[in-house]
Amino acid sequence: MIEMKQVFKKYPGGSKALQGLNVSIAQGEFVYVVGPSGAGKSTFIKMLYAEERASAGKVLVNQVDVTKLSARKVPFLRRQLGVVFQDYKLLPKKSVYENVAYALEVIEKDQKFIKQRVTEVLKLVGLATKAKRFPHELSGGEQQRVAIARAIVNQPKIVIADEPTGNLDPTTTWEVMKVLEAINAQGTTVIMATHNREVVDGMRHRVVRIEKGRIVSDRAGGDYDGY
Amino acid sequence: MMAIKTWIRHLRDSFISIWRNRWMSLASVGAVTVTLLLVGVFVALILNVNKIASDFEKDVEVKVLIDTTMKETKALALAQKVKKLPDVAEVRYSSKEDELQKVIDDFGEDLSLVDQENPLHNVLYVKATEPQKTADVARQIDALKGTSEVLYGKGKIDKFFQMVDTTRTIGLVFIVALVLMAVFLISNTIKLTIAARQHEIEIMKLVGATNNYVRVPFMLEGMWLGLFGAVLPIIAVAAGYMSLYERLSPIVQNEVFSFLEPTNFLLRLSVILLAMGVVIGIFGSAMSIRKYLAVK
Ligand SMILES: Nc1ncnc2c1ncn2[C@@H]1O[C@H](COP(=O)(O)OP(=O)(O)O)[C@@H](O)[C@H]1O
Ligand SMILES: [Mg+2]
Repeated sequence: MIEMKQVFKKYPGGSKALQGLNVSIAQGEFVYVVGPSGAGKSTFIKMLYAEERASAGKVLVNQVDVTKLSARKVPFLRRQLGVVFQDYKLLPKKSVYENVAYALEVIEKDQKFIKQRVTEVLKLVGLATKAKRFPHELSGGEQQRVAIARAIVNQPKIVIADEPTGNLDPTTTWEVMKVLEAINAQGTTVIMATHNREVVDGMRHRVVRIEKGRIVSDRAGGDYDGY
Repeated sequence: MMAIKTWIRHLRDSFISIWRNRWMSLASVGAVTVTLLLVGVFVALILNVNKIASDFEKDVEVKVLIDTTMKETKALALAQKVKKLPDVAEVRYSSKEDELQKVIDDFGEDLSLVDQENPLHNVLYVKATEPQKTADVARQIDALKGTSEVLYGKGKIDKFFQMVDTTRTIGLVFIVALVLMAVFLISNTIKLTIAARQHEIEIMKLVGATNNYVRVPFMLEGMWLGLFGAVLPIIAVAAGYMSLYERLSPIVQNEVFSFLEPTNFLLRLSVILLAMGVVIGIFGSAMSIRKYLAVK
């Protein structure tokens, strides 16, 4: 469960990225966050995993107010979320297997469990045969699937993605979307910022449209323009 | 507390990281090696100068020539009196016959004075409790009746002690400067490797790694690099010292001083260099990683 109440965000430079955001997202939903460049989509996403802190308002993630979370507790919030980015953010010196395993090593899981779980997740994203490769040896679509595998390996209730298909061509975009759909079908909440019209119109879900730091429309099964 | 398996993972990660960043690792080890080599040579030098200086200090004594008119029994009484003076540690009586024997030992029997009546004085050799008090002690003895002359190389000795003090100070300053340079060099080299890995640290934190979890493998890495960097200097300094010791010791055998005995000294020096390598490595990586760990 995610809830934002009157969230404002003003960056040190003075730009007002969020100006009174209110939204509520239930467990198991798939939500697109759309809007023009600079609207505040990334800032909205960053509120959720405490990369940026709100200037005012409440951000509840699984009943915890993230705006009041101490720096020491932030890692524990992030372990409950899966996060996916446009630029994949894979560890360049770690293999595919090691990248995914890292998220489980951090929470001190057993070696045996890690091996079994990572293998399982790599199979799910269709990369079982590339476990020993390094990120730079993979295509963009494959790298993004590794990032998704890492995001879901700990079976989080919520997966957050900021323009996950931003760097991908149409074919690989659909590969990645299919994986996100599958995760959502298993009951995971998916929140995805995007400005990819084809994706939003092609796979219908709830669409939250942000412009100038405010939500201007919010429709279940809507299209990219908010209708 | 971290679980054992986590420590094992950190150890594994630190080795993997050293290997995958092998050129940077080599550069860091090189920096440690060069600085510890210099530190090692300097420490060996300074400690030996110290040793020699203290050998000399121990040897400084006042030579008191007793009036030739004074009988031996009275001379011995004078010795007792001198012994009771403040700051006097040791008094040794040497009769004029003993003195003559010494001269003969040094210069051979064919000296003309052997045939004549012994012209030498009965002598007291006096050591002060501290070398710096020598001048004081000499003055007090001079004031006593029955002493014809008090010798201790006045200004010369004072100057010698001054020189020893200066050498020590300069040496200490040098070592401190070298250590600072080492820390700076290593933290900079590691900073270079970490700047390249800033991205990695950011990602690690995104998937929920705590600061400690990110920090430990880097610190272990720094520790290994420092440890590896100490190996070559230890071997070089040990080999160099042993060969110098073997060559120089026979030459100074009869002097008042000797060099530090290698086995014990080198063992301690090795421990010092290893410890310095480890501390420098850990400290360097801790310093260079700090700013990347800050959370908003
Ligand atoms: N770190 C930052 N510092 C200052 N201003 C920022 C920062 N990040 C974003 N902004 C500003 O906040 C506004 C919203 O940015 P962002 O949330 O990235 O929008 P979007 O993801 O919708 O393109 C923009 O005007 C942007 O310039
Ligand atoms: Mg953005």
